Amino acid sequence: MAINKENFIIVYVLEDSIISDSESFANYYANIHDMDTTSNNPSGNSGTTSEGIYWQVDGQKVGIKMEDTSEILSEGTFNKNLLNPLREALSSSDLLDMNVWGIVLGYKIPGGYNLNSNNIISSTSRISRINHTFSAKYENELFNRKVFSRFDSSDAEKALIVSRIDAPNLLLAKQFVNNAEIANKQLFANGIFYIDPYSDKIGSKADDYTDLMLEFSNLTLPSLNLSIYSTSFIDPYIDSIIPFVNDDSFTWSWFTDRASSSFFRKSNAIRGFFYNADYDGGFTMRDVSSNRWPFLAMDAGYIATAGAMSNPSIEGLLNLRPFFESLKNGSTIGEAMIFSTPFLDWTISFFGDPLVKIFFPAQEEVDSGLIDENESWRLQSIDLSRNMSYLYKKEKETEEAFQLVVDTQNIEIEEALLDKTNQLFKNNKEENRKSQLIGLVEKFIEYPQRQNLYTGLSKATPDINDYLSEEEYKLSELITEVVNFQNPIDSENILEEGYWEFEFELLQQSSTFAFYNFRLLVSDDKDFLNIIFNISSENGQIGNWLYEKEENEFIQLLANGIPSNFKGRRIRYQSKTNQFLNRGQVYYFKITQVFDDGNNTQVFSPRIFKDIIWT
Amino acid sequence: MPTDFQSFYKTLSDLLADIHDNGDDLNDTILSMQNYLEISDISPNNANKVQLLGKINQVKNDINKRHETPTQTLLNVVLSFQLLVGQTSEEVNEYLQAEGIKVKCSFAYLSSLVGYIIDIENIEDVEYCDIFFEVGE
Repeated sequence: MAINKENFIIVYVLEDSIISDSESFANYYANIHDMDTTSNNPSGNSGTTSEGIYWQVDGQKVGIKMEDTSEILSEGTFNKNLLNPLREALSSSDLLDMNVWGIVLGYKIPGGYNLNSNNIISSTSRISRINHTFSAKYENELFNRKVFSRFDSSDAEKALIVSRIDAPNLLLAKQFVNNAEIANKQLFANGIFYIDPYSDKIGSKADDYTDLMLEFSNLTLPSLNLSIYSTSFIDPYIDSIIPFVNDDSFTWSWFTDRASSSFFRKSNAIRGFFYNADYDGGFTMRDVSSNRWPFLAMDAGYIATAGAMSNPSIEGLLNLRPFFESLKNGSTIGEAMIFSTPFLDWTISFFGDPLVKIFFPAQEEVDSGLIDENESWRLQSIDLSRNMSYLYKKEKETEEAFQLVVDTQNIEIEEALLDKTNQLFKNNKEENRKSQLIGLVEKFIEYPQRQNLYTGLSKATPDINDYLSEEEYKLSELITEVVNFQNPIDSENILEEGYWEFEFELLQQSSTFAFYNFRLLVSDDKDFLNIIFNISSENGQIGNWLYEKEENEFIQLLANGIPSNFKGRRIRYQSKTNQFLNRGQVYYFKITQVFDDGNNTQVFSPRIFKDIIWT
Repeated sequence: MPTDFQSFYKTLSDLLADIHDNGDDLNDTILSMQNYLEISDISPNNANKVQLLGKINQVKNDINKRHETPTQTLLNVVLSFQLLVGQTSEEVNEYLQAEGIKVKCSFAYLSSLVGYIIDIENIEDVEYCDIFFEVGE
């Protein structure tokens, strides 16, 4: 089941005898989301830590009697006042029954702690991994997965969704919740998407981040159906800036790190998510005068935002593509946040209501299970070739049966079987097997020509060669030899006989984030007693190995392997000329994923596949 | 029978089993092709898609008749082949037992269709025999 309010708790500062502002805020949030605030078992759902901090659970509300609620704490004070009591509360009977996948840190809950003189660890990031030992700048296993799936229980074992709603005063904190509530009542976020891919940062990592934004602009942004405002490249030393936002729904920029409230003009649209990639925007949400982006954005009506408590490094900045791909696929803001942050136990903090969902105007149907028409045709061509290849195999086997009888030179056997095996062979001979598929092959070859008539390809009336060349597809000779085409298929569009390729899905087999390489065994024996090829992508042997970087787009494997977040995407090995195999013969392929973590090589369970050589 | 008839029997029976097994693979590949066409992001009412699906269905039916269901030509070979060994199932099983021959599952199936039921102990990898049928025990 997808994540919802039932999976969330709200944390507040508990005070003796009175309802604190923090608890008042928690009640307000819980009430808006219709969360349960009653305790089934008061005595079993409260306790005091060994360091003397009292905590209590009331339904989905967790109160902690903190001694220090400063925005930035020391590590020891943070653990004593927030981490340890919250950890104990999560082990209480009510919360164990609840499946807590997400936590909202409410008004006056500390924002983070000083790890050392350079790094401030954010509360949201540390508490995401509350069930794990602290490991600074831990690679987030949920980051940027290439095949989308909603947050689930197995994800929650790796990291929780944690966001913080804090403000200079209670009224403003409640207003931040109202921003989300207003959004929930509107249909779409249909304002302008402001994007600023350029900064005055120089160096390869800065270029990489700019490239991420440009890639997003090209590949994801158009599908959101929003109006776009983008800055332009001026000069590597000049930070292009967005002068102000008006009628905005989203803003993603970098790097100018201070601003003023006049930046935010009026917007009649939902203000969904604001992010300025800088190094200390998230340092405070309580200081009105700090002029940092996250506070200004929330104050201007944004539902959610993020910012760094201290320098997260450029590679630690949020990645906008998984963020918006997640929203587009129906995720809550909280899910989009956790899927877009590269590191946990680190400095980036999330602010705002994680339960809100944002819809885009005229959003196309997503995750329909349909595949691209051209990819469908390519996959069909392989299946059709396999089909032809099994007919070819059957022909060879019936010929062999006939020949076996002939070779006995035994009259009794020949009298009994010669005519009958000869008839069996004749029924499966070349002309017969081809005739079985002529009609289908003709229709199959016609299909892309008709579908692309006057549209889609550079020629108005493309023939099959035009289509194959433009899509960079090749066909098996087993298909092309079936029909005498008016315009023969060019030899460069035909695969060489014996060529094979092996394709499989990347699995996440490591318990931690990993970079996978691959070992492939090819055998003509299902038990792999006879190994024909032993192929590996390790040690930079990445020639002929491809991975699916974008959907249906394959490029050469990365030298250090394919990261975990590509799980679900395909890996392909293409045979070299000296590895060609026999047409019509069945072979077995054993693929093993391996991960060298620098100290040792982890070898994961292999998978075995069978395929016929279809070229 | 020639002295090497035992090896001839094993080789030919295996070949006949393999010939029959192609039917399932032919069916699987055409079904997979059909599936890829059906899930392409083109309207199911698109004329070109409908026509191509029509052709795939024709081939599917043809595969069923010619390859998945054993043809009379194939069964004629199997019957004549078993007659070389004996007139009854018992005689064939005795021969297999005596020669230590284990036939493939698919051959046992073809044999059963022409009236020769092969005992389980004369079938190799019988635990993986997914088309297994009630044979004489």
